[in-house]
Amino acid sequence: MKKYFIVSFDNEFDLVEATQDFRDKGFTVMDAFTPYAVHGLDKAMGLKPSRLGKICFGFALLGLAIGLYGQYWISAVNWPINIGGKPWNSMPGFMPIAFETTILFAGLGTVFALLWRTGVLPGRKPKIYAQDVTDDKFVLVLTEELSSFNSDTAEAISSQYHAVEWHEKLESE
Amino acid sequence: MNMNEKNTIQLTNRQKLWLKLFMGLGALAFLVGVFTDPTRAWSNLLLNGYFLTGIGFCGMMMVAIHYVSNAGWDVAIRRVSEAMFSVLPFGFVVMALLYFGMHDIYEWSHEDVVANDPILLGKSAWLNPLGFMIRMVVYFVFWIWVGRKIISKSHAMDLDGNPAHTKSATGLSAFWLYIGGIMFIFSSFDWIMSLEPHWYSTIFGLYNFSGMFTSGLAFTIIALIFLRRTGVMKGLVKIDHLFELSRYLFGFVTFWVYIWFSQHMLIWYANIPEETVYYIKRHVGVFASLTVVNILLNWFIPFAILLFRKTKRNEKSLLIAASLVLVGRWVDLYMMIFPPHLESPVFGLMEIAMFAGALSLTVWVFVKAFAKEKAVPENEPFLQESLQLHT
Repeated sequence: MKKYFIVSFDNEFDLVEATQDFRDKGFTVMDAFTPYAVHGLDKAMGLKPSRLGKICFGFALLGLAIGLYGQYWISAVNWPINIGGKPWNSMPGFMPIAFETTILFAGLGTVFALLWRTGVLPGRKPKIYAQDVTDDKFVLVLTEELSSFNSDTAEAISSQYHAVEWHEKLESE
Repeated sequence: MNMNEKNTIQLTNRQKLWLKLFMGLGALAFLVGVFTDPTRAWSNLLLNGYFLTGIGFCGMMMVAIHYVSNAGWDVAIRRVSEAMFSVLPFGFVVMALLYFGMHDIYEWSHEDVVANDPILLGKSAWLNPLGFMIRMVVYFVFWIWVGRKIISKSHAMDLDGNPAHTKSATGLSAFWLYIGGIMFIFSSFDWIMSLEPHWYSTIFGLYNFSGMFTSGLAFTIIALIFLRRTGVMKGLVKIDHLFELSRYLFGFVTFWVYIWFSQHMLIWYANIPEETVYYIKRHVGVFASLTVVNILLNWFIPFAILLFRKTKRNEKSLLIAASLVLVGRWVDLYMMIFPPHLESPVFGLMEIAMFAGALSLTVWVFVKAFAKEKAVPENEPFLQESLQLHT
């Protein structure tokens, strides 16, 4: 049995400060939902830097390799054609296409890696923790095993940072 | 924060002595060169004059771009760009000296040569000594005059805080960018491309623009790092501002190599003798290895260094990358200006002394101009946004 504690705030400053305070007092932050990107929230939530950059770089190298080898194989190995007297394996002419495959692989690879890792795939049914989350509220979701969750402290912290609303939710795994 | 007083940055006597020494050596090397090897001396003068012009132009361009795009983050570093702009008049002085050395480096300035050359005769309506000087004056007067107007708005803002100043500076900036940008393209045709008057490349202006932008950004980054160390920018400019600039640099070194390769590949592909002559000169002998060095310095190494978030937010790695780009700008200009007159590269005291002199002049003028005003435009509406920059 898991317990969710859902708090809504009116503005981003309260949210960031409350998030920091909750984590300092030993609560586990599951996620925060905001109408727009909030600077400093990732730090308050203790999020690690995204690894997407590395994935992007890997896909870029893959695209570069495929682009270069593909053109080399087509124009120098499989079906050599004399174009303007250039050598069959002409690196400068391969560059633009290799560049395009590099950014194509990097772009698409990053997007699909993001979708796959975050689970935001077509047909996914979103979990709505608080109705206002789709409107103008800044919502923080804490999660804990039922036995170790201290509701009194959580409520105290919530009201300290001017939370407008909070409720609890139980869910079996 | 020392926002409300003029900043206290100044050069120590020792630094002044060193800068004067380098400037003097540069001037001396040039004077000696004019009598011993005029072509080389004037080529060096053109290189350094164009370098100074690029630094000054980039300063104004950064100011103008950020006005026009309504950028908030750059307000805290605007005075740095404005101080860079003060280098532009000195670029004018150096470039104007070319009047006396035109005949040593520009083939089209000899009337007898032009008369016997149908191609040069056809271009003589544009490429003639009088037109060359008139255009140079027009370019510089426009850049400096309108640029000063934009900056004076920013200074007037310090006094009365009337937001109307920002609005009119935005309008002037758009005007400056549009006309001044076209002028920059033509200036690179006039001053650099006409060294080989039979050859032409329509992307040449853009190529020079990208080099000017990377070197200007590199100078801004180096200047900001040193200003931060002296403490003038304490509490005003954070590592986040440097991070924004290093992202600019990261993007524009790639833009530089993109344009370099665009020009190279189209000429390679078409393989027309009157175009390939440019690269044949630069792809044989010692110049060939300099071409590789050029790409390493201007793109490959800075790109590899700045690829990571950590290195973009670290003063040391930024200093290395920016210095490489500044040196790379010299190599890039060298590869444009010297091959027309030489079989193989020359490099000696004259090149070192004159570039060191140009850099010293830049630092001297920059520090003097920066010390005159407050370190940040304190009444600017976007200042708070800039001070709170968070990346």
